[in-house]
Amino acid sequence: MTERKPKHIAIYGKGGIGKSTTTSNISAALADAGFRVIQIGCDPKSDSTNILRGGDDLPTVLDSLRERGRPSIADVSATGFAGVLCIEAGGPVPGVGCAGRGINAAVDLLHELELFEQFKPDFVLYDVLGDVVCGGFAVPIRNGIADSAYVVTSSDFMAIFAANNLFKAISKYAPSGGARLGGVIANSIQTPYAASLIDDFAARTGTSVVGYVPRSQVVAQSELYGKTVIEAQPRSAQADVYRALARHIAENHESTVPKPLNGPALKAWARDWGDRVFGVEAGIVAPQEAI
Amino acid sequence: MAIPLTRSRSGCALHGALFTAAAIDGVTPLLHSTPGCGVQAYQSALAGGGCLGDDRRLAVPSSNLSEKHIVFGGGSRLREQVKNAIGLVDGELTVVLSGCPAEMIGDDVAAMVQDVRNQGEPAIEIATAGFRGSAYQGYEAFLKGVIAQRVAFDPAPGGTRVSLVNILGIVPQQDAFWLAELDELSRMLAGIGLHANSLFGPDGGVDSLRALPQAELSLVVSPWGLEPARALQSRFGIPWLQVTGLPVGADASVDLLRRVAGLISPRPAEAESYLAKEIRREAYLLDAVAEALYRRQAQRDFAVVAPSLHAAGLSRFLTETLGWTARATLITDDPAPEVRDALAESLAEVQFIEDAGGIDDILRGSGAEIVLGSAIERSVADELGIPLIEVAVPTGKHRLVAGLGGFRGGLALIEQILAIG
Repeated sequence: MTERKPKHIAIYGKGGIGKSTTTSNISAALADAGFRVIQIGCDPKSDSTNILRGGDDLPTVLDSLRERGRPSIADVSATGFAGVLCIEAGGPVPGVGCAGRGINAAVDLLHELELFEQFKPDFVLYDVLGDVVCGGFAVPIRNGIADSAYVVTSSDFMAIFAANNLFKAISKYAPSGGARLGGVIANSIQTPYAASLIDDFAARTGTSVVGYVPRSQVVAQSELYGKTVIEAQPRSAQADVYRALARHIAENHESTVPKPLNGPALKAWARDWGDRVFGVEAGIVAPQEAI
Repeated sequence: MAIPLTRSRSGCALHGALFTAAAIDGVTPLLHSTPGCGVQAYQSALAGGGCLGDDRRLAVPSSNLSEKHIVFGGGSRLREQVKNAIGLVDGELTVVLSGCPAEMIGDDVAAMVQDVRNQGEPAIEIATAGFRGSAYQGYEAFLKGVIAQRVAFDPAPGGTRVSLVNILGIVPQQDAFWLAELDELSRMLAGIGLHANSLFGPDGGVDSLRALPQAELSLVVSPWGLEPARALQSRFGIPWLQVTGLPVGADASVDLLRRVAGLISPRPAEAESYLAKEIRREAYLLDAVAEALYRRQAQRDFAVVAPSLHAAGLSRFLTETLGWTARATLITDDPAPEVRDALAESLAEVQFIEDAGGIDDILRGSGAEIVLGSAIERSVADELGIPLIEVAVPTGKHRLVAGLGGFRGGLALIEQILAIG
């Protein structure tokens, strides 16, 4: 009998955009559907997996590396909702050291500890700080780590900007065996134009939106209870949204190499959307307008 | 397009700063970097970098950063290392030299060193990451760093010391025969009634470093002394005189000393009498060996492969004093574009090149009958069947009495020409 190769997926997104919430809900949905899942938080904030494990304290890989030398998997992991194995890479205190190198070191150590051989996951989700500020934050999408990457974005320009930067990183690394883009996850959809704006960005960059996650009180409530929506309110419409996303990720859809916009093109695109949004708010309806 | 560089002749900026700091008695260099940085500097000294390089000086304290410090910051490791070093190593001034990893992760070295100063220990920090450039640039960075920080001159320097001349531009270990060159320049300046502040060697040390602001003049003998000289001028008002490398032989030496004497000369008549004596001496000795030189080969076509400190002076001496023909003068230390015209002035066949492969190719096509270069040129000289005189780093040659510069340098070069037959 041959062992099934685990699927490694990196989920990027600008800080505060909801990527940890989205990733945790996807992990929970996959685990709830019977898959073995590992979620690895690759953000120095070390709060990626909080809502999978009720907010209990979890020593990070790097803290353990600093204090104990070489930790075991048990030292740096916790089992969360539906058996999701939760790991936080961790990082230095803000303003000191090199968080990028930290992610590199943590991922190296997990490989050395044979985490994937021992746990035999079906899915490994890396929840990565989306401002790909240096090479360290691109580690999960380089050759040999993640197969595909997803980006979580809202319709805010800075979130789109961060997504476009990730596309630049993917288009750089993909030709040499790095991860390709699975798709865009549109998050915090609440204004009438948000979905159209993100759709348009995806179209311009040769990518596609794989799911729309509406802004919802259900998410906020569940988080306050230290839980994912899948765990806290499994019958909610919001839970169905995350389950659909998880299904999409579990199925083998074709991934792409995005075509990021260059600086002036991105700015021009944003200005154009500024005009259109102003039009919406001023009550001007253009013909053929999708918003 | 990238320019290939094989067999580099220079270490990195950290190495240059370390060589410089280690050459000043009383200074304790402390590396804030990974262990290999210090080891590599030490090994390059052992392997023929510098000639007369006292490699024991390169056994220096280091924070020996590892991955843990890169991820979480190396500040506390540095603080601990400085404390230990001050407790164990005798020294009057601790100089923290930061390497690439510490600067890339942004360790706040200045704050750590300020803590040390707050505890009453004289210490300064200088940013000397290897990626800042070559060992020559490390020398520049070290001196500029020292000059910029008040603590290096604490207590405050007294008034100007009459006749004191700072010698800038000779890089310890990286420039061949650096101790002998400083010695000869000091002797020459003494001949015209001046006192050299040489920083390194038996007459150097921390006191010499602290005396930098008291000099009447800074004498800049290579492009690498220019920035420190400018810093001394802007901070302490010390004028500087720049020459294009060390003078080799009596003509060039007299020319240099007359220029210096034109700016500061306590006893002009005595200076002229000294110069006349040196001219007479070289003429007498050249006359004594003239027949031996002619018997070997009166005139030769030569190539010089050396850094800015030596290349022009050697080429000029061989051309003007011995009447040889320059087929190539290759300057190997990548000086700044703005000083290149001055370095190449009145010389034939000058090129600025660092790459050993490119240098070999030029030598093959040059028609030179003798090469003055580093040990790296040994293989091409053997291939061409022509002699090599080692005048640049790396070299295993050690010279105690005379390097290549000044009155004695020219004569020492003639000795070597006679020795190769």
